[in-house]
Amino acid sequence: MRKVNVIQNLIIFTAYIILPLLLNNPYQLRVLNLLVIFTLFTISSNIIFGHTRQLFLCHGALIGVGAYTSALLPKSLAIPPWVVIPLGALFSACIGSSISAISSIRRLSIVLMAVLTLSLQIIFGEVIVGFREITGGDEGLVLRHDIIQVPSAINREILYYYLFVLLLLVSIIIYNRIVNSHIGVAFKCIVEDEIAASSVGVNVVKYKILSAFIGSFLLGLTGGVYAYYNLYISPSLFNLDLYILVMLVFGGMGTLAGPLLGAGVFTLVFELLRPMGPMTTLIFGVLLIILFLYFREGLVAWLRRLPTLHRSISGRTLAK
Amino acid sequence: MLVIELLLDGISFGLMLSLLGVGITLIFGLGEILNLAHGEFVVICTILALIFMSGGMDVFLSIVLSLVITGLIGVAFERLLLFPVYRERGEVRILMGIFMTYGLSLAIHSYLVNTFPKVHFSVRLPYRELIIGGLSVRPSTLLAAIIATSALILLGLFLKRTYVGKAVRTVAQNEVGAQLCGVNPANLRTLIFALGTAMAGLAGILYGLIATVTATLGLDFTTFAIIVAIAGGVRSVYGAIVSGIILGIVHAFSSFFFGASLSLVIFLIAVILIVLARPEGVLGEKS
Repeated sequence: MRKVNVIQNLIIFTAYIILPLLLNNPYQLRVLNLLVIFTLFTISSNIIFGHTRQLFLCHGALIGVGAYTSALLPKSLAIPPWVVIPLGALFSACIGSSISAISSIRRLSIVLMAVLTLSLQIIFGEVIVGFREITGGDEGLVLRHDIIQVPSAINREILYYYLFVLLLLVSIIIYNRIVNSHIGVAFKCIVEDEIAASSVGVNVVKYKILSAFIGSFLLGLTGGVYAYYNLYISPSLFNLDLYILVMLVFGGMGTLAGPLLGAGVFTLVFELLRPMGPMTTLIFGVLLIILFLYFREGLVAWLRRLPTLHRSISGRTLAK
Repeated sequence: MLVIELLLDGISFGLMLSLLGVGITLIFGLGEILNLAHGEFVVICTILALIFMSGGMDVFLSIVLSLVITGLIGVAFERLLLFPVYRERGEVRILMGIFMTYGLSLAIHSYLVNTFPKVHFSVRLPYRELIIGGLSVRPSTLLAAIIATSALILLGLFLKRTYVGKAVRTVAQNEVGAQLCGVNPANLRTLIFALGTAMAGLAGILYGLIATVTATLGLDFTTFAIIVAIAGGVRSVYGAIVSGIILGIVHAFSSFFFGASLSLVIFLIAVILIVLARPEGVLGEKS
């Protein structure tokens, strides 16, 4: 188990490190960056929804809190960005884990949770628009500094790419550690049956809060780095929940390869659909419906079933 | 004086919210589907009415026609998209319902916003402001309140007095029990979905009397509708009506004192507090 994991990780890591060297077009590099960013978002969503079935429809708000905190604090307080980004992430993590704490302690049903998080997403947008003098409102906020001074000899896209990949690799390692520890076992119990899990001594509330904390921390952290990568943030950039959920459901919940594949495929689909303009939301909305109807098990489970499918078909032909 | 005028405005907006919330409540009560696309039907209905009116049709006739067509679109969605959801049970059904209607709502929203970017629906009455005992009352506000009240009373009579209405309440109470008595939940669900979407359309027309409907407002209407239904306790029709009126008054006062953007924040925070304090709703009916 351990050995397979190490080899699998090594393959993934080298793939991510080599990829940008094969491309030199700035557009392709930007798409690659978006791919890694979306992978990070989908991994966090996988920790929250895929592993403990907490429905968060406010991923965008959690990302945005991280982004706005890390963009606004250095402006007013003269703190370097690399100190502020983890602070912003911590802020999102506090919000995420308190949502989880409230809803799991009070045993809110999934409907109430959807409403709670959906209204938080709207509150986020309205607060940003309401405090126009500080946040820039609808027009957005332009950032003037990079995280570190980029030497002109180095391509900025590639530098940020490796920053995001570093983030991704660390989160993959931590994810594997968590899933293969007693916490992962607890997560599995919770997904199967919450009441049964608590009856065998799993502290459901604790593990739910933990997963929400880790997931929202990663969302906020990625959001913060994204703000400095994009150098521009506006509230409309953070309506991301639909895309993240499509990627997660398509890839497969509760697996590591699921988010990697889902985010990879759908970032490319998104780029192919870009000529359609704002209609992409329509296509993604329909995709979410179709995926949830006919492909709920996800790509990973489907690929795993493939060899047995093949065997059963060939077995049948042999019997004939 | 000002307080009473704000109160009147709040009540008439609140009755419109009640119309939206009751639709969500009924649909959830019968099929356990939280219709996150509810607000889009509001916009669909107003756009249809506008299209008919610009075609030279009579105002009243075009509104009635657009309400009927909105109901039929609701039926089409329910029959085509939601039938696989009803095959599941319990938590899975609720989760699937949320995902399906969430995808549907974003799909319709982006279609409407891009196809009809410049649509503004508002109905202006040819009467001046009424002065009653020193109060100035806009006739459109009054008319909206009257229409909403009569629609809600009609709905109440339908649910209490008619045979079909009683069957609807049976299914909401116990699906298996209703089936054992020979009631077919599938047909009733379709009927209620049509009724709910038509009421959402009516709410949109009434909103056109007090303010202006644009294509971008669909998501806001959805949130309002769900919030009203949740604050009223998801299964109680009377709870939805009461909570709609209360929240309408809260909205009128907070948007007068704090401006539109922050008032929505206050409104939503009020709702979160209501939900946390009384998850079973303002009237406190335990299901």
